[in-house]
Amino acid sequence: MLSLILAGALLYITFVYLKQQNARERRMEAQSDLPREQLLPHHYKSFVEVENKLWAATAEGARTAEWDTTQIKLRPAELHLAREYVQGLQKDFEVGNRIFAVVIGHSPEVKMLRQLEWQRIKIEFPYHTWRVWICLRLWMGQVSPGELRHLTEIVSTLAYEVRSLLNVFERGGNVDFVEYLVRKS
Amino acid sequence: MGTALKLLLFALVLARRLYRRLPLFSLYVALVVADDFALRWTYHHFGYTSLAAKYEYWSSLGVVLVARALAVAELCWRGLRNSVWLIASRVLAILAFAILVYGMVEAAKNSSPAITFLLTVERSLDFGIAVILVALLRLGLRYEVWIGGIERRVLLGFSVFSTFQIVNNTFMKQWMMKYFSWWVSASVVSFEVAMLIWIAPLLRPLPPMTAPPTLLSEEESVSMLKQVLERMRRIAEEMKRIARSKWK
Repeated sequence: MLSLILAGALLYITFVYLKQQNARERRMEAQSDLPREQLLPHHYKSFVEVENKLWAATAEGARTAEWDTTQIKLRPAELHLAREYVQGLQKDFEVGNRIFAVVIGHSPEVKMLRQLEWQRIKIEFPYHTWRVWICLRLWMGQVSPGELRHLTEIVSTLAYEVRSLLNVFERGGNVDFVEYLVRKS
Repeated sequence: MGTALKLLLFALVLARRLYRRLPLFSLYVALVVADDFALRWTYHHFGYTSLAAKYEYWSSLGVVLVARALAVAELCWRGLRNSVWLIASRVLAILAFAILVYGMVEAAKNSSPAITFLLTVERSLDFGIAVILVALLRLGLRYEVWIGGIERRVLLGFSVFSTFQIVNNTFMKQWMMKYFSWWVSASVVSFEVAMLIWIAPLLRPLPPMTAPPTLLSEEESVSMLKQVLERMRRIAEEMKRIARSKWK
């Protein structure tokens, strides 16, 4: 039984890996001319806009001091908006995590790799937990601004860390490496 | 059909000078071809059931097995880098040692130790290669490791072959003892499929092998990553502080 699970896992992971490699080649072609800001996490910045739209669409009674914890029953238009926003956050997370992964992969020491990996896990775990929770809530047609805010905070932390590490490399004069990270990773 | 494919693969490996890029994989292909011819020659001169045929079959199986393991290790070495390779190489060494010990223990229990050893090692190696490939691919996904097109095909070929072998060994052990010839055929077909996967990209000239530019020296990366780590810790602390102040 273990052997069959292993065989299945091997075929599955081979397929996923080859898909990732092909996606990378396509991405490199597509983003060669894009401005750098577009290649870094940026969707999370529209949170205020999304929150304002939700606020405008919500009944007067819900706009209380406990706005953050208010469970909003979403109508199709708002549901679409929230879903698009969460998808944008997912893209941000993928971009940030990818840059992070390449940097960690360049680590020349095992100890350092472990420490950087730990920092990465500290962001990954809450992100995935919150994302699954929010997707579930959206599937039920509900969401609270506080939940969206929390997911946004996690992504913005990752984005801040990514920008911060790019700054460190750039200030050290490694512009080529930064270009490689942003455009070719 | 099998011999023709082996010859074609070997010819393409030489023509495309793949031995410069993947020397251990090329050695594996050369050994597979040599093994095929040596076996045919032995069967022809000494007969299928002769002692010489028996020795030739089992000894070449051992050599090809080792070459296959080395070819997979080469893929790991090329795919993973720096500290990821340091971690992976330790795991690989432990796994190889475990396979050898398991093979020896099984061989010691049997009346025909050499053959049992090779058979057990072959089964364990198929299992081990699958574990290593899963680990390699998982690390590849985790660290966004990019490998060249030909290396990807070699990896895919080994994955397909190992998957077939594992499934084969599992069913053979439990239900297919009566159908030994089917098992052998399935094994041969899986290797032929793997060879076709390896042959396809070699039909066209390989893109020139250019060494990846050194974008960051080792000393530089140590000092930069230390700074990065320090900043990340500060950011994490700051986030914790903000979260705590919000819940108060």
